[in-house]
Amino acid sequence: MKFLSIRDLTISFGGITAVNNVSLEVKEGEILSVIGPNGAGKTTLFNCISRLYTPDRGKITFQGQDLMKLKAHEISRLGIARTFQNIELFTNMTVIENILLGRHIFRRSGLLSQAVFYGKAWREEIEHRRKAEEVIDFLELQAHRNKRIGRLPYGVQKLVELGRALALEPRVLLMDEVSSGMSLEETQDLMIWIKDIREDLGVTIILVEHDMRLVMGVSDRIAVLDYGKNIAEGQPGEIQANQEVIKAYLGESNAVVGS
Amino acid sequence: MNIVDFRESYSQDFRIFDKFYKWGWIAFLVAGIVVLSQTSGDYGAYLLNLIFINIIAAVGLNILTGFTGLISLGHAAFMAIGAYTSSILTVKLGVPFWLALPASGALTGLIGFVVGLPSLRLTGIYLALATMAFGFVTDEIILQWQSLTRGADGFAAIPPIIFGMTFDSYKKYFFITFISLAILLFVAKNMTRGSFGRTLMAIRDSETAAETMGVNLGWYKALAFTVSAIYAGLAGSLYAHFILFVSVDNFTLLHSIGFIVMVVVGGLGSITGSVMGAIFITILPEIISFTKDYLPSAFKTASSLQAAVYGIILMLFVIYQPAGFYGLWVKIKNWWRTFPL
Repeated sequence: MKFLSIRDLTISFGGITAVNNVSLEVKEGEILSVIGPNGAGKTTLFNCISRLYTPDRGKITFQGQDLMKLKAHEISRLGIARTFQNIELFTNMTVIENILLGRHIFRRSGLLSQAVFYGKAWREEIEHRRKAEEVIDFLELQAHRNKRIGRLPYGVQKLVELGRALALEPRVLLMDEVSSGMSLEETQDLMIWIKDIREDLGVTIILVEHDMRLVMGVSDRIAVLDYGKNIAEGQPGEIQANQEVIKAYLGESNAVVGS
Repeated sequence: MNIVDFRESYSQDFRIFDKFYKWGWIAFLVAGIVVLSQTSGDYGAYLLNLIFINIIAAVGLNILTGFTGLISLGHAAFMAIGAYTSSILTVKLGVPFWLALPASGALTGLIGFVVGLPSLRLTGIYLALATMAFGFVTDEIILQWQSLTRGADGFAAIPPIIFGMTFDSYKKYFFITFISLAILLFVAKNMTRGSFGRTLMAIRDSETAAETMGVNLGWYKALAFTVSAIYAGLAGSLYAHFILFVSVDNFTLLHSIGFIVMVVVGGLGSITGSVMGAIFITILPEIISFTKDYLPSAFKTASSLQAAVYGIILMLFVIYQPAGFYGLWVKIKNWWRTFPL
């Protein structure tokens, strides 16, 4: 059975075809980067996987399950978590509260038991907090744990989003430009964390990234999108040498000069 | 005073009070209020009852507006449904009060759930309009359904009888509202400090992110409406057996706006804030009527003085103290705690 498989995915907004016939196979345990110039359809692809968008055509399956039959809030239950390009955090809540939201799918106590908040609900809350603290330790967010999101620098907010996704104990993690707004040092830490997430937690990672050093440093495989089309796929070395890719990034004439 | 507070267990993060001794203050407060209610005469007991009922309604509305970010201009209508249900059950069907009270909460909650369903698509001003329309429709149904509600004549309710005891004075009735309030405040605090409250706040802050985290938006919004309506319904039932007469004039749009003002003035998203806001706004008309004698004659005769004062207070708070009384209280507390700094 295929792990995560995207087949002939097409979605258009008005006259613009954002994603055009893209097919992609993601293997379990790999780090796959999706790169491409601005507007190539990378984030749209993510939004289709997390069912925020419904594609016009095509199919996405995760371990044999058809994602098109599910609603957006059911995707996380399969173990697919994501971060957002333009941070979507709960601004008026603290760091730990944000991360605790990642535990939403593990709630077992009902509203009535929470109204009494004794026994099961109480134990469950403690259990979730313990997990959230583990995530905070992992991402070294201790200094910020009780701060409200609105007061945090951009780079830290990105990490909180990553933490919230990790609290969900995902099997697949979609990371949408996590490194944007991070300093060089933070990006280097991020590179180590991405590898750790895969090695220690066994999470399959799909990255959308602009930082080529990060992409080349962590990816097992790279897929290149341009104008919604999948123009190349391969290992970092192959992609760097691929004429199509160079053309997409630098334009026709430069490609000739480069070769 | 300790400036740094170290925590040793996870539960310290979500206990109602981080230090156990603070329950002592609550015990003092409870004792004080009970003494006050029995010694301050009929007027004092009347005011306390009214304050408690308003706190219940305001806390309910805050769960919807402050925590979930959904506005309702129909809360007086929910209260009306609770009040009429309770009155009709006790008078026409002879249902005992202790059963009629939760029943009116349940029925209002059910209606709240249905009203909440469109809130998945309607937000902001459109939801305000829809809930306002719900209020008007409810008023009209009560007026037209004369066989059940006696229409514009209003409905006379009876004082509650529990274990053969008749709670027919404000001083006696105080115990019913006070115990109801204590239970409902505890429940509200429990719902909001755990994962339910967090989920509601998440919906308020970012629907997209909440949805990706697995939150069923439609279900939770409807739940928020349900819980909020239950509180309003219970407040309505308590109100009916307190005033002993219900009519649509007690539950107008101005009353709904009054609850919004309580929630905003107290502080959105804070149970303590709603308590403060409800106390302030309930006492306000009394203050106005006291000071009326000292006002210029032009104001004295203005019939909508109360509405105008509501408006001014709401504007001042939104501009200068958007976090409400609760925000102010937190500021003062922190200032004292770190005093010389």
